[in-house]
Amino acid sequence: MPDDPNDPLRALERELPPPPHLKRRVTATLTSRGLLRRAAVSPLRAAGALAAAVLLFAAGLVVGRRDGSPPADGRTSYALLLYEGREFDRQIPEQTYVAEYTAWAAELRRRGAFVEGHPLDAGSRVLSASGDSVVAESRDVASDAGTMAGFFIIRAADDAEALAIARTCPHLKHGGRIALRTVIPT
Amino acid sequence: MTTDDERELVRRVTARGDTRAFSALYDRHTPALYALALRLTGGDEREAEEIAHDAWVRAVEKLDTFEWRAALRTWLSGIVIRRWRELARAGARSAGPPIEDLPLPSDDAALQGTADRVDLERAIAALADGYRQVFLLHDVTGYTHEEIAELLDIDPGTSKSQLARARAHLRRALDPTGERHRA
Repeated sequence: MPDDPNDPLRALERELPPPPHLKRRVTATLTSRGLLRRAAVSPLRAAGALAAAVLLFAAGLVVGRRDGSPPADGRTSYALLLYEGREFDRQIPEQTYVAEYTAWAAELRRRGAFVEGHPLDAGSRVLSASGDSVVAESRDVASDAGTMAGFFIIRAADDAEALAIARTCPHLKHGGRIALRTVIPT
Repeated sequence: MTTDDERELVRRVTARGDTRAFSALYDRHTPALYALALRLTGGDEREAEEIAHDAWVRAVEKLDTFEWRAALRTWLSGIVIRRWRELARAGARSAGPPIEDLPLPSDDAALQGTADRVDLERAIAALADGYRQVFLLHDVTGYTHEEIAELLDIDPGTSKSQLARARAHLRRALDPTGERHRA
């Protein structure tokens, strides 16, 4: 840089804060490619992001109940697939997410609409057939909506009610996207 | 963080994919790498994020080949600028005219017209790509003219002259009357 202390070019900042979600994104990519190991989740690190995510969905399981069988009341099961893309706001404290998702799941439980919910770890293995063998690649599967970060299974009388429930999911107000899919009974 | 500390972190990442070691490296270098990417792209935050992301992925892929003949940040910065140039060549954005064809400062009407209100970041963003590359690599990242010449495939003398012109553009944009610089 110029030596003159009055030179306006000396005001240039050498560092600028990167987007807060970038670190997680880079780490996820490196993990999915096998360049970093998956971080072990210790019970003592419940405040960590992954543990918080587990808590977030576990809270939903506590207030709901795990029951994947076809509903006996004639209602249909729907999957809410939660995606996180660039727009997802990761600056909010994890506790806030936990509280919001817990309250949301509790309300669904009260209405008998909650079935199940789980987070998904960053990174994935993509399997495909190659001749007589199966190839498994460690890489991300991303869509225009981002990477799938978790899912909920709910029950609703029809598509309109399922859509109405999905609209209330706190995932949306934080910039996440939700794909609503009907679960076909088997 | 000392160089020895950094070597140990790199060893842990390459030897066993240590996520914590990578986290420490990321925290130390990313603000500078992102600043470089953001300025190379003229302030395009999305493109800068893509460049920083891709640069880190590529860096970790090749980290076991890094020989410490330069500072780690210098090596990482080189990856950032190569990625930016790849995107430019791929048509994601204009790479600008060849460095040798850039106009002299007196021909840059766009900068002159905004000189009385532009701040430093805007002035950098307004530079032609060739000027911006040399200015950022030399004055911000700390590359030598010889290193810049190798990285950009130009002569060291071209790097020196373009740096002088880039600085002249910026000073004039920031201080059009020259009063502050004469004080």
